[in-house]
Amino acid sequence: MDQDLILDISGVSKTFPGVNALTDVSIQVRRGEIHGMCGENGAGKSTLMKILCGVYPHGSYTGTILLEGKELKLGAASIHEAIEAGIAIVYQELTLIPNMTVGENIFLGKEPRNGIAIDWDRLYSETAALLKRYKLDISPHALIKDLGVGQMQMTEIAKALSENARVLILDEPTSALSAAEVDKLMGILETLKAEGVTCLYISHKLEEFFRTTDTVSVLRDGRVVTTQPTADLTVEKMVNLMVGREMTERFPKGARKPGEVFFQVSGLRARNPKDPSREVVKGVDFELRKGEILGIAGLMGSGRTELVTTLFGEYGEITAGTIRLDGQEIQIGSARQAMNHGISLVPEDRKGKGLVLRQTILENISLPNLDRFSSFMRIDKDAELSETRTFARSLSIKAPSLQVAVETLSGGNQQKVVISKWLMSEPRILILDDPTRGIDVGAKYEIYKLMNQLAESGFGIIMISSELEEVLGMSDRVMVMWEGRSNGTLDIAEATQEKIMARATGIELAQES
Amino acid sequence: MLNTLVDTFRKNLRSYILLIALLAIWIGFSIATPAYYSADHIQDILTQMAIIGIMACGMVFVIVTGGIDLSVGFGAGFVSVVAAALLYFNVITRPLAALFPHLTPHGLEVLSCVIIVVLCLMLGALIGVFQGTIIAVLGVPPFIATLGGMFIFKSGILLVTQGKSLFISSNDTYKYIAQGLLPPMFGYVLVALVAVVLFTMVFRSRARKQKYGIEMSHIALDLAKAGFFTLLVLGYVLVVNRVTDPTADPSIRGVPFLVVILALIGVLMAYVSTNTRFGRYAYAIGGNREAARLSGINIRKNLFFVYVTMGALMGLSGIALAAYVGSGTTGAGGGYELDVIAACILGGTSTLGGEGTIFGAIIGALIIQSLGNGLQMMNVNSNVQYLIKGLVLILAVWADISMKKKRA
Repeated sequence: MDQDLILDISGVSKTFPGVNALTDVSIQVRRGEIHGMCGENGAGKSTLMKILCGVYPHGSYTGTILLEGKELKLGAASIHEAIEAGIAIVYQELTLIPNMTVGENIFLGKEPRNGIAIDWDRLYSETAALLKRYKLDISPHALIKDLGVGQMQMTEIAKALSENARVLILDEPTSALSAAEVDKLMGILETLKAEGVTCLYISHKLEEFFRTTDTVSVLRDGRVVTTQPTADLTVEKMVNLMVGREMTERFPKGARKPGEVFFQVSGLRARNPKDPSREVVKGVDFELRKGEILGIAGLMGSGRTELVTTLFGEYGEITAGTIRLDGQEIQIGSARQAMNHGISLVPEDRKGKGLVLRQTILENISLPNLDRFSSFMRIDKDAELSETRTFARSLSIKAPSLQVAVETLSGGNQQKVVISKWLMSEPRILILDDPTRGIDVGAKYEIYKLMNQLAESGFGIIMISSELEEVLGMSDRVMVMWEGRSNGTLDIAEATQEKIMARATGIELAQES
Repeated sequence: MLNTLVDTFRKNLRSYILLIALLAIWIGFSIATPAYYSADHIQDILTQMAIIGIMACGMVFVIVTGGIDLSVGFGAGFVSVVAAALLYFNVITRPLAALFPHLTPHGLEVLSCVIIVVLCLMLGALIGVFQGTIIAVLGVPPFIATLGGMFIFKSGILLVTQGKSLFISSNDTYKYIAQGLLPPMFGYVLVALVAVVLFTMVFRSRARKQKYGIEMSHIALDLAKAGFFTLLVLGYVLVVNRVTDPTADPSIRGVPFLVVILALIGVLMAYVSTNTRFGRYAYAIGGNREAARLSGINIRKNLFFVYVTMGALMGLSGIALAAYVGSGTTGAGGGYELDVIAACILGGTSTLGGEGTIFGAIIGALIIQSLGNGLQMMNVNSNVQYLIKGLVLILAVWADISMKKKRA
């Protein structure tokens, strides 16, 4: 064999009761390359990764996997076997302990010992050496809870590398990162590559494959559609391969006709109620028109989420500025008040903040809306059911019934449940905080179409997004945030990625109005 | 059709397993000690478990919201000694007699009893207000707040009793609360009522499901379920009315009053849990507090009322406890909190919050009581009884966890 293969997956199939999760999957990964994997949710990426790190042990699937020429036979006992074999995974959900330091987390479970006591000096010096070797810019003594998401990710990577991993699996590493942090991660990947570490890179953000990967495998419905050098692909080609159908536009163009301004925020300042010395919103001005989509762009930490949760009455304590609805000044001190003014928020972390995962679709959708079906001692279940069903149908939530727990749904359908829940409250302003994060391409498209429909029917929509392309593709105007303040609003016709980034990083400042 | 029946049965295995376990315990003990199967004991067992069961109905809400209440044992004990003290020292009777000199002794007894019950319920609710404020408003974690409450109420018991037992000899009406039996006729009315309610519920729920095209279980299964529970109630009523024993004294025939109270509380709380906003919000708060908050739910207010409800039910249990024991003792209620919590957990309430049913908790309480009584009747050393209860609890939760894993 002329190529130096580190991982040779051949003919792997895995079935669950009633589902073929993987069918005859063969992928060859060369030593030292960054190998991208993409596919819609449910395409089989996660299943394949779980096989590679031993969650599904050898014997529970068919086919063979060779790691450096030797067959990989992981037992069911623990994922430590995979780590010992040289495969480490950095999960989408971060698995660090907040109250421990970077060093403690990296060496968790394998602390260097001096007799029975932990050898702290060695632990921290080894951590420092590790961080330096891979050019990771974090202090070994920093507490995880004080770090940004990007730094946590670096700690996770360092933890994986401390095990001498030869294959590093990165499962959607950028889903929570800001653009600057993504750049940093790309730099780290280059360093890893230079050090000879092989990476399997899973992501939903297709642009990233073109920045980092050497080769990309596309999965669809449990099969490998193609494995090709990244240079031979384009985003459009990849999307087509993933969904198996033509999708000429990633962002559906609606027939939005923005009307008059009905919501104005001016000079808004707010501080963190838990830490009143910290001002989180430091002067925000914007207007929202009926039937328009206002995009909010900005780096992670620029105060986007803090702004919208403050507008929803559930985060900051407003210290200055006015909020006007239909020209009238309004006060918002709680979610209930915001709802009464017709403001709804689809929060950023759908599992952590948007849904009660173990409850049913019905219960989740009706949760904020029970007042309309209820008298003091009774919920009118007929009304609840029929109205919930109307929304579930009009948003085409795919589920066997309304009585299934939302945790069993796919990310896209979960997001539709959150949106339904807020649409039912009859809002006039719908705020969407990163609505398509972690959702596959097909479902994203449906969410975009829904946003268009809503705007066309007169809603004012505010959308936060971490993806510049999404902001540019969906908005009528884009407000850019920088360090807690609004740094100008750009009309979509004049907005470009460069202009937005210049504002988001404070290189260019909006003229004071 | 048999297949669909088996299928639905398999899907609801979890809820049936509790009932099966209960039946197994009953059958096992009946074989071991024939007295277990006697009318006397069957009449007794539900009365005894009612004190735990009533509190379990409130505890489900507490645990569902992600909390815990360790103070319910001594809290109920405190209410019970207050009730006993009010009777023992004639605190209510004496001024009443002065106020209404024309009242017959019996009338006086009934009136003072009603007043004491109302006062004790209010005392319970007040304790709930106190703990609810500490937990929901001041933000002290429930475990700590109620651990403190546990000590406080223990002291309260000792202060009220001054280390003596206060016997309730003067008021038989009060003792009727826990010791009284309803006339046999009432038992049959109860059976009819249960049958009407259960079967109406089956048809109404099916009609609704049909209207909204919701998948439903086979009608035979639904009817069988309703029929089974009706038969169960009928069987119980026949036994406690002692129909097979014509020579029995009429005074020992009938359904215990306290059992009916428990049934009413159970039905009420089960209704509240699924059919009111308060119930729904409790489950949402326990399932995901952040999502509940962002859905505009007032977390503090709802948590506060969860503890007030718990307090009121604790008051009711305290009232029943004094009536059952016939006195206020220094050790009143001690350890009940563990039985109450164990009942909820056996009944499938998740300690992580968000999950749990009233029905399950009552069955759980019944299992605990059946086990305790059986071991006692078999003359198992009481030192070992706790050991067995502990093992059963752990075993049940472990079985549940491993069953869930298998399904996943």
